Amino acid sequence: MNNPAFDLLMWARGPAFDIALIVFIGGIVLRVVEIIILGRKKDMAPPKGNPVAQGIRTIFSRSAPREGLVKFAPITYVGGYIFHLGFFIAFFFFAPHIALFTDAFGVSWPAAGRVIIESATALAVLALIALTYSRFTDPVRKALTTFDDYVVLLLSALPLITGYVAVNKLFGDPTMMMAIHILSVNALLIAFPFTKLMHAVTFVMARYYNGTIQGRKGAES
Amino acid sequence: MANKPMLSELMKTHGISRRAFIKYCTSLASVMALSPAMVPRIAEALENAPRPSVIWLSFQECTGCTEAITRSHAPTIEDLIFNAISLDYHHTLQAASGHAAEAAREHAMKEHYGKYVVVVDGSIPIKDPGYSCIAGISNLDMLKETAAGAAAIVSVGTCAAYGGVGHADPNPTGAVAVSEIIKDKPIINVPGCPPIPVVMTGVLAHFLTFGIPELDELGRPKAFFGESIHDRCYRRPFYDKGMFAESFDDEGARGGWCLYKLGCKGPTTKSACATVKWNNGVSFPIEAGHPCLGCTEPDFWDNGGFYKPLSVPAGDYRKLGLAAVAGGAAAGVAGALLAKAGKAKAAKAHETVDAHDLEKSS
Amino acid sequence: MDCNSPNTKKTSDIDDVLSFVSTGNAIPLLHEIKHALGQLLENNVTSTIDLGAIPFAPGDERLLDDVLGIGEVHAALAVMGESHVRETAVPGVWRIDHFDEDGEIQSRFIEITFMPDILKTQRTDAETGLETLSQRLNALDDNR
Repeated sequence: MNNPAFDLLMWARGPAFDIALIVFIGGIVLRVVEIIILGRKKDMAPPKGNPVAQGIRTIFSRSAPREGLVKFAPITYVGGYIFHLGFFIAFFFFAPHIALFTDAFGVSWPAAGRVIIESATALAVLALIALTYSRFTDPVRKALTTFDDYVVLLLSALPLITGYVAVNKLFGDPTMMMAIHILSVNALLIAFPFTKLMHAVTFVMARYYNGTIQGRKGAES
Repeated sequence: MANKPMLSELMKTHGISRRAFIKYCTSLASVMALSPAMVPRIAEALENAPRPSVIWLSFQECTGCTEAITRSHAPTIEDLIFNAISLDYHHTLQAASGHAAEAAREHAMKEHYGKYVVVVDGSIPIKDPGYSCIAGISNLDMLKETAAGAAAIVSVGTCAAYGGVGHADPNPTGAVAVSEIIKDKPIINVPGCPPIPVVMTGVLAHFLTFGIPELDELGRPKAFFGESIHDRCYRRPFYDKGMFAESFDDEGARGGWCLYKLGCKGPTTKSACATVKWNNGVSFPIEAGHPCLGCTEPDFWDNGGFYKPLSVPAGDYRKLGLAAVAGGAAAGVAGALLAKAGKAKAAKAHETVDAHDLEKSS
Repeated sequence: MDCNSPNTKKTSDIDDVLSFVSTGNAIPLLHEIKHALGQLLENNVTSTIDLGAIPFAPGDERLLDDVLGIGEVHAALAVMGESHVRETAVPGVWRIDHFDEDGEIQSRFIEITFMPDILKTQRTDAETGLETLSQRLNALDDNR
């Protein structure tokens, strides 16, 4: 007999993770390769500016919002930044996650203390709630929101919430909560290539493309 | 063997003062994780309860549990044997052997039918019961036979409680736990590889004075298995501050930092090692610098490697990841070429695109 | 430090450093003791605290020793192994340490009381004592 919670944990970090990883990596590589090979029609006209340099510059310059946009859609921008930063800190600077990278790639970096990780997690979840709220209340956004958007919001929130619950042992059997946390991460990984989560990878290409078109025309981006 | 004298008479005969008895009960309360206020009740129970017969069955085991329990300091196994229980059968500790030993067991069973306690260490092979026999009797038969008249069964060690190392992949002997065979008697599981000596004697002592202790969902006494190692570990402040040892004997390890990254299973393991400790409270594995193996949990041998942190996937994911990259790239190329062919065909056929087409998903 | 190093015993430097490792459990415990002492004086209620039940690191022990200190009374008992009953520098707060016959620590308590029970003579023992004394006196009488 085995502890049923541990059986689930072993499945979550064993076969389930393997499947999730294959779908995640395979799916992302597939889509990126397709995008690159499909490419765009070559423009034979001589460019007015420097498209390549502008394209690369735009990849970074788009990380800051354009003037006036934060005032125009504060929840989207502020919530978006808080969510991404919080998720980044909670994921990349929590020691058990760093252990994952150490095991996979042999690299390691300093971990942050629990207070920082927990604050980052809580803020990220609050940001997600705010973003979801703005999707519901604003009629234009509500009309634009699809099933894909709700799924992605939920799947991004679950690892944060379940991770917080598991580490702090808020409720439930600790081993079971850890298994659920890893399962929620697996779900996120599987959903990745099929949803707009791909933006995590394609934002580079999208921003480059926007910059390079404008660069050709000699306009700003 | 019949009608053992009460403890109070024994004490008088041996010149043990009541003060000594109170000291014994006080230490016993501490070991059983009971409040000091319970000492009078323990004293009363020990004085007035008859001394039960205990039959210890050793099956497919390494004798580590017996070795451990004889290292217990409070109450000492000698105290238990001579004062509180009647250990009528034990391979390692008994003087008799061969037929005389088996006769002792059978006599005890008949004499105290329905009232004796069976303590089991070691797993039971059922694939071919012949794998482990004592005096020609298979473990399976001996367990069933002896359990029939038992008042309760205590499965000592992870082998008896959950199958242990015998049960680990690929389990060639078909080893199982006691609870997989006996379904109609109360079973107390005291897992550990081995269990902490004072936990073993504490559980036995609790059973003698107050009956079966409160058990968790895996049949373990909550008094000793209620908290996880992680929650009681003295290195917890380092975990909370993000200070981890990266490898054995590195700076962090020497500084006594948390061993999570070295594979410590403390967060998922429930045991008393962090508070009660080993060797009379001297130390425990984490304090000695080695990550917890999780030996009180079922199938701890197969729950990912001992040195793989809990957050790391257990399978061979690196190979799978590389295969996914290759497969994804190939599929991507194929998909892109297909799409290009489709595009060329559409251009040749002068197909048009309108706004509604943009909403279509494929 | 490997097994071949000449000094495999803990040096006092390491002890000093370790003595600052603490779980923070000493302070709540000391407050509990203070509360119990108040209860003793008000309502004559004795309290016993089992030190084995609380995770304690060397730093906590050091703090406990520093705050409680050593008092006027030390009783060494020879009772199935040794036991040491010491009043701390806070009268009414006693430390009771039980050792087994091999000299290994068995259990440790802090008792807040006017007189620890283990020091008192137990009634049954006194009854046995009376018998013993009578027998010895009779033996003396016989020999006269």
